[in-house]
Amino acid sequence: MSTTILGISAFYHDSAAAIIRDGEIIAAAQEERFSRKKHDPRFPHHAINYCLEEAFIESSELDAVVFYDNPLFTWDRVLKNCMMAGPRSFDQFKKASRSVLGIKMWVKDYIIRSIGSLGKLDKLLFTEHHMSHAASAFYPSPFQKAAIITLDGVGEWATTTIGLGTDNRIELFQEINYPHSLGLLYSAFTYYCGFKVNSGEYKLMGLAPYGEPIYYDAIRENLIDIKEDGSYNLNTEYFGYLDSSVMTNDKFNNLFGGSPRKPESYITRREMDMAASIQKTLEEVILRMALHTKKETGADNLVMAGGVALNCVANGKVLKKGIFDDFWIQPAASDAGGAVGAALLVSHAYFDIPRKINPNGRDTQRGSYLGPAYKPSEVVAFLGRKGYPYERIANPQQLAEKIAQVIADGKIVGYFAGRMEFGPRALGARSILGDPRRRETQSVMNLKIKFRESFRPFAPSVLAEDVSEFFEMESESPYMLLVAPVRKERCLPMNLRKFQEGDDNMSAVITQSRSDIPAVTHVDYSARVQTVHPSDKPDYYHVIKKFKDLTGYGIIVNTSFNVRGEPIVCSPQDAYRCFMRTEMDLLVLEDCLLWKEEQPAFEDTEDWRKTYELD
Amino acid sequence: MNSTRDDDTLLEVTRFFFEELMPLAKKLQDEGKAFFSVKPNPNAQTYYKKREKTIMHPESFEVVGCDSFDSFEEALIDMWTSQGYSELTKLAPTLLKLAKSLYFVEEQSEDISPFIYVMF
Repeated sequence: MSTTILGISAFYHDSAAAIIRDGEIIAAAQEERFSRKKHDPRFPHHAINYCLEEAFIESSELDAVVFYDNPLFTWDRVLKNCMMAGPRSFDQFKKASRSVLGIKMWVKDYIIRSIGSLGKLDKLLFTEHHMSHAASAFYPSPFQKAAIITLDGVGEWATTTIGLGTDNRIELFQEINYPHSLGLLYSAFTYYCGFKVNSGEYKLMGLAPYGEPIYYDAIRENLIDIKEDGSYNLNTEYFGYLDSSVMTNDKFNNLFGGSPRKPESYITRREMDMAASIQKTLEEVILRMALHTKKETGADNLVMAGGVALNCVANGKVLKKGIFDDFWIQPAASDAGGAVGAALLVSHAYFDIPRKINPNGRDTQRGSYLGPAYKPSEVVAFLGRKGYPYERIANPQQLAEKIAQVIADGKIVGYFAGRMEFGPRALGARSILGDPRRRETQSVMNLKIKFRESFRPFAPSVLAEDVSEFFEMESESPYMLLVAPVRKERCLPMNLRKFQEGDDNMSAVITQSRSDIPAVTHVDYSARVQTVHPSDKPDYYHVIKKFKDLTGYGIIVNTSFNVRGEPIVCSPQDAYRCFMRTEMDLLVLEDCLLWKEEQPAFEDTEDWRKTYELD
Repeated sequence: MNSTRDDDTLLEVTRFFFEELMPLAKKLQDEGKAFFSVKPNPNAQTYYKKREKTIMHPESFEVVGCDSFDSFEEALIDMWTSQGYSELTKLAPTLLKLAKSLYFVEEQSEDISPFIYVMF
């Protein structure tokens, strides 16, 4: 008899579902991929249905259904926050009443309406938000024992937790509570710099290397007190989130010399310096916290989750510092991963199912390829029905060789193969690929394919065995969660004179070759690395391997298969639509190749720039 | 959801906030009680707090109060009593009424879902 658990995260941001059977992750997906609404926080009807289908199970056959946090404690925080903030928080109270008291509290009813059953237990289980994060980080990791750090905006009350995982047991023994939150602090700067909260944090991190941390002292003196052990408290007088729907207030604005940047307006030196300053602050907290956690637990390994754990620059610093022997981060580190964590926690702590550690020393996240796949026959049927011309190459080696040749010729390829990734990064199942040796790849991909800000860097996918040939890095980074320096001998000097003299125009920097792999080398000579191992994704590995055979470089550019503001594509239809709306040259749908110039005129019935709200 | 019910619910929420919640908040504030610190304490050695519950036991997965209206009021009272905030327990009956009024009020057609705000 097997034990199957459905985990659900919803009603915050990025709702998701996951199915765990006997402690193994069977399927996980974010609702946004199906609803096509980025970071969709609504009840994940589609993701749940997909997970049930993938597990070949009816809802009534589930052993348990679990929700990833505790709405009662969330309401406790909402109410007490408004009592502390006073009458100015009325607007916030109105919204919170509707969303928490009106909906989130009664998630059980949503589940029954959606799938008709709560499974054999006939009652909904709940975890604690940071316990879900901790479980998502520890259980799939390759470690029998590991220290745990979770960091996010806020759960019920906790914003930071520290603990230890050993076999089936997860213990969280220290915490920092709302309103003191590293995640909310970073989000406040994200908002102030004109990017979207809970979405644009990644852009802020990418912007940081352009600036100087000249506001670091102002941040340390006014906004945050950091203790030696990495614990911290904020001065909430500077933040808007206690009593309004925005992150900062006038006091914050005055400290940094003016109003927040308007979204989509010109990015100035101030935003670059703000980004550099808050990034330095965040790294300082995390490094101190890692040292403290090592001291408290004595563990050799560290696992992390929570939205802040997606800050791969900070992660890279922790790795470099060598505080722990090894390090694993849940790839769906933000709330979506809570669905996996909650279901794993119920498996191991409620049903007492023994934890299985991968005997080959790798993790049990299965490369995070946990979403839907489409068989070649389904793709062929789709293309036939639509009348889209294609070439089919059934031999995997020949297919990989052909794709590699196209990339080496400087073309941009949409690559759709196998199960969709779970988590925010595309890892070679729903990716756009390019040649990293070409200087123009970054600007072409940013401006003609992704339609996003030109300063944003692209990430490399590199053969796992070749990683140290390109980067100062020995370990694997299968989920693109570590940043490492490009090897010095590959780097080229840049002329930064004009930029350093005060010319804010970043394009003067962006367009310069920084190394022999310029498309994936950021302005600080770093890269956000994905190592590709043949056992995780053989088809993708072979494309890179063939590219190496042709060029001598076992590395390609990998960016998510979407345009700005659009969720990563899920189905062949999504992929074709995105392909036709952009200047990609070739679309690979499993073993079918579609050339742009051969396709019929695309009749777009919607203005996608309006459909997809800019992120 | 009809607009009359919307209006009535908003009136209830408004009345609760200004006539029950804020006066109680003021009273607690006057008594020097605070639910959390809003500023750093330079004299503190650490800001880490020891957690009371460090692991999830099987019974802690079962949250009373979120399963039905019947248990909601009592769950709030139990929670606040156990936390030492018995002053809050008198809010529970009105919160139950509000929960009933707000139940499934949310419409997902809004451009920006209230769920995205960090508070929730």
